[in-house]
Amino acid sequence: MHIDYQKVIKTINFFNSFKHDEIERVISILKIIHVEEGKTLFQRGHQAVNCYIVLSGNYMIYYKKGQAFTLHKPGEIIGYTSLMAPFYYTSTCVSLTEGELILLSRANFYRLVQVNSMLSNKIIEEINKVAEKRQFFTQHMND
Amino acid sequence: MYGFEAVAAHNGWSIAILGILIVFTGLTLLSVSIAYFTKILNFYNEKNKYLKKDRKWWQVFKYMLIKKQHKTNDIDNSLTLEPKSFDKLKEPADQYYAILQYLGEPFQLPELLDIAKKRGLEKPHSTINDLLLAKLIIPHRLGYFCWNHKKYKQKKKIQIKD
Repeated sequence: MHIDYQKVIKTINFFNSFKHDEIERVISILKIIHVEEGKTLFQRGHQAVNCYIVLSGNYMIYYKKGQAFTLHKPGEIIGYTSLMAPFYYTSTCVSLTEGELILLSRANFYRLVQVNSMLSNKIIEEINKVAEKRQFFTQHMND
Repeated sequence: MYGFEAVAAHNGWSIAILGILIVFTGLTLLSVSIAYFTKILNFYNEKNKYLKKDRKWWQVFKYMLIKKQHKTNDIDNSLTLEPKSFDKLKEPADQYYAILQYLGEPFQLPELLDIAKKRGLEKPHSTINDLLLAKLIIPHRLGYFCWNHKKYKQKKKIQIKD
């Protein structure tokens, strides 16, 4: 099945500040995956290797004490801790419905960092915005 | 000149009284500080508790601010979320409402999911998602959720009338 990555990615808020050629480069390290209902994307405490951007579907992220929040919109980031030290997941993520995600692996991201630091900085900036919003959860839900 | 006469001539009495006053003031201050020392130590030992208490309030306030900001940011991020009609959700809504009678409120979403799985309810993940989208399950605070009794009762009333 052919996927028009350019078209798909341009609809995602996360990539709003990216130029055409930057999107082209980012596409080379991204992969779109399909997830079934009830699939655990990752578990708290496991080594964080993948970061996801929601294309469709609904997801629940929950912490140590059972506190949770749900994601229902395209462009939401899941598993951003895979791009930040100490590289382990601070929460568990489960898909509530089937859906599609953009997968950005840590290995691919660091390959991009070596080749294009400007672009990787841009990605980190976007990730930081999400991290800031979720700071409360990551800091206090795992105490 | 000897004796008390000499003492008086060289302001000895006033110097002696001043000396006594200084010493006694010092001793009084020392005894007061020793008396309160335990309280100071207690405060020092529990300073983290007091600070944490303040910080918690600050964090709750900060969370509410972030949440508000998050909501306003998401306004233009329109997504066609189509919650199922209440007719289709009626049965699962009743089932999950029954679980919550036992679970209590506010509740943890993963716990609700676990119980639904154990009870063998059909498609617990997507059903909880439907209940969330239909706003029958609503976020409470700090990652907990609660049942929207008002909406549930309203929908029930409409159904009975129909």
